[in-house]
Order: sequence, then structure tokens, then C-alpha cells
Amino acid sequence: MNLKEYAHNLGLDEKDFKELTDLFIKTTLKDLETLEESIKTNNFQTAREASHSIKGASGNLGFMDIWEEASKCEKACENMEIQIVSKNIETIKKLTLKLTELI
Amino acid sequence: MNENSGYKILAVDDSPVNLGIINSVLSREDYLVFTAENGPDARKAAEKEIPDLILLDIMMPGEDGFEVIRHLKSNPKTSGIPVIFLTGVSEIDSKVKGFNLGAVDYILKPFHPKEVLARVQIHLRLSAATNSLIKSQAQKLKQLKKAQKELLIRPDHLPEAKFGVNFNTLHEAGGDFYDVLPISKNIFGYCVADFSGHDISTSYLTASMKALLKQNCTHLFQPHESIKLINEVLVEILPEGKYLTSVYARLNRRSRQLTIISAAHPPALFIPHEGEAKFIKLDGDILGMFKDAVFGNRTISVNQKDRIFLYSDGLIEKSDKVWTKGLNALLEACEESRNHPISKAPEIIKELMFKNVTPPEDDVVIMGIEV
Repeated sequence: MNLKEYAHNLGLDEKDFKELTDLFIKTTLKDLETLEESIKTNNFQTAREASHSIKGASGNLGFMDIWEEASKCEKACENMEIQIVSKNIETIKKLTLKLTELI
Repeated sequence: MNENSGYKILAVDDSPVNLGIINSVLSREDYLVFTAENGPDARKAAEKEIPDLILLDIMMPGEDGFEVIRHLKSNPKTSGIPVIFLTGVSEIDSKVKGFNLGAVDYILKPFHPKEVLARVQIHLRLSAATNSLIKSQAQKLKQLKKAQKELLIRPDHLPEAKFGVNFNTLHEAGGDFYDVLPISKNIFGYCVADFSGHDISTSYLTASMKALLKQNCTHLFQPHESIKLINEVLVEILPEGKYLTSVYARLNRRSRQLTIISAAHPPALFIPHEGEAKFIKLDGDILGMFKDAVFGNRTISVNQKDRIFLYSDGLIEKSDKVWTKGLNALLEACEESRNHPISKAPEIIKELMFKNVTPPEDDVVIMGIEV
């Protein structure tokens, strides 16, 4: 899907959607940093909050592949599964960076 | 709604992306959107802007959405603002808790901007309708209070009845009632009644009571017969569970006979011009509940300048929770008012009764009659 289709699906202006996507990329990369730092110190509560934040924003913007991965990551944080969380972080990062191509 | 702009919406979410989506979709429809990223900022913004609606995320770090609703609902400035909360699909308990705390609806996350818009619009419509209903009801109740006051006779309307009255209603539709009836040139009837409840129906019933007194308290009937007839009609017309207590005094100024009929009402107070004051304690059933009710009935001889005070229980109950103490206080207050004209005495008595206590929590009526 391109940016126009995403915007249309949500009933938003393309310009607004572009700005929101840009904001999403920035905040998600920041949340991913928090996630990485948190699991290093076994702070799974903060890690869970960061993945929850990514999940919420991606779902609302219609980026469902990121939403699915963030949902898994949140669950893994609850279960303190470091390896799964690390894998989820990598996937989310890739998918997020891919969004930059859209804008 | 602000007169010069659109409806104000406050969106609260720790995610700037979510706030951006909400802002984008609502601003397109010309809503004035304010945003807050945490609980304390949300509360400040709500108090400052008084938005027409709040969209509130539940899961936020620090002060969560539940805590925010609690604060909003306990603050009189913000308690009436409808709150829609944003919650995840798996958080069933959150939904119930949110409703229990006073939220009007929820939106599941991830949300679709169009759904947000639709829910905001429907709740603003509901809120506007409710506010309009409240305004209309308040207006009607104000009119009702005015009409109810106009039903009440004032001492200057009937100076020959030589009475004074102090009447205060706390509610738009008060439960207390009084009336003075000219039965003949020298005979007057005086009544104080207290309906159970203070709802709107009560004020219509006070109008019925006035009509019943006029129809039945005539020369043709003895006082106890009048009250018995009134009771029979009230039993038929009062809604279930509704009743009243009442005291009716008929004074014949020529024969100087005073008859008191009591329907479970606090005792009338007799203050002779010379001599010791006393309560006229009578047993009796309430009015409007039983067809075969029995009422307290006593006739005493009175002299010129003797006084009788009729009142509602709000006067003695609220000045002191214990009736006996309230009655003693009333006795003292009435004694103190002896040197004042009867037209002023009830006001003075009420002031004395509530001098050192919190204002009355119930309707209060006090009527003084001078022979």
C-alpha cells in the first residue's frame, strides 16, 4: 500500500498522514531504544510499556505488520523472554525503517 | 460549547502519534482539540478549558486513566464532562471499571479515526440533549416554586386573621405547606402540613390540599369532621407511599375557643398572654394513608393576646437532632418573641432556633396566631 491508500483508509488527509507517519517513525525508533536498554537491565515493565506504545500507535495508523510484531513483543516482555523480545525488536526496526521509503 | 468556536475536545494519550491521529480527524470537522500526554496535564487542561468531551487513554505511565477520571468526577468544575476512554480489546475489566467510575463510553484500540469521530459526535449530541433537558427542567421547577409561593396566603392578605408566618423551602418543589382560611367573620382556620418527599408531585399535592381545605373547612363542619373528609379524599388521590402530617387549628374569636386537630404532627405550642406556655400534645394518625384514621382533637379556652404556634418538624429537628431538646429550644424562642408583634414573631423564632447551628436541611414553616 502507498501513503495515499493508508490515508484514505483512515479518512485522513494525505499530508496529515505523512506527518503522522514521520512522527511514528521517530517515536518508534525511540521506543525501540528504550526497549533494548530495558531488557539489558531486566526492566521488563518499562520494556512492556515501550512495546505497548508501539503497538497502539502502529495499530491506529493501520501498520498491521508492526502491530502484530509489537503485540508479540509485549507478550514476550510479560513472560520475560529476552530472546523473543530481541528478535521482535529487530523485526519492528526493519519494518519501521521500511516506512521511510513511503514518505 | 464556546459561543465563538466549535466544541472543545480534550484528548489524553501518552502516545503523540495517537494524539496526532485524533487531532487530525477532529480538527478536520472543526472541533477545537486540546491534547495532554499525561494525567496531571489532562486534569489541568480539563479545569482550564472545560472541554465538551474528553477522550482518555486508560493505560498511561504514572497516573493512569482511572485515576484521571476519579479526579475529574470529584471536581465540581469537571464532573459533568462526558469521558470516553480508550482501551485495548483484552482489557475487559478496564471497561467495567471505567463505566463504574463515570465514563460514558469506550473506544477499542487500535481505533479507526472515523469511529472516534462518530462516537465523539454521538456523545456530544447526547450531552447537548441532556443539558437542554436539565435547563428546561430547572426552568420548570423555578416556575413551580414561584407558583407554589403564590398559593400561600400572606398576613397582609388577611390581617383580621392576626397571624405571622415564616416559610422557607430548600427545594424547588417544597414539601411543607400552610394556609389560613376565613371561615366566617370571627372564625378562622389555620393549617400547617408536611408532605412526605420533596418531588415535583408534592407541589401539585399542595395545590390539592389548599383546595380541599377551602372545600371542607367551612361553617358546616366541626374541625375533626373537616379533617376526616379531607383524609378520605387524600387516601384516594395520593400516590402510593405518599402521606402527610398536619395540624389544623380553628379559632373562634368570639367564643374564644380554639380547637386543634393533629394528624401525627409536632405539637402546637400555646403561649398564654399571662401564664405558663405549654405544648398541646395529641396523638393521631397521618393523613392520606388510612380511611379509618383517627386524629388528635382538643378544644381549649383562650383569651385576648394569647398566642398559638404551629410549625413543621424541620424547625425542631434541625435545630437539634433530639426532639425534646428542639421543643425546649422552641419554647424558649417563643417566650423571647413575646414582646414582638405576631407578624414578626415567626421570623425571630426561626433566627433564634438556628442561631448557633448549621442552616436547616429541610423545609421549615412556622406560623404564629394571636387571639
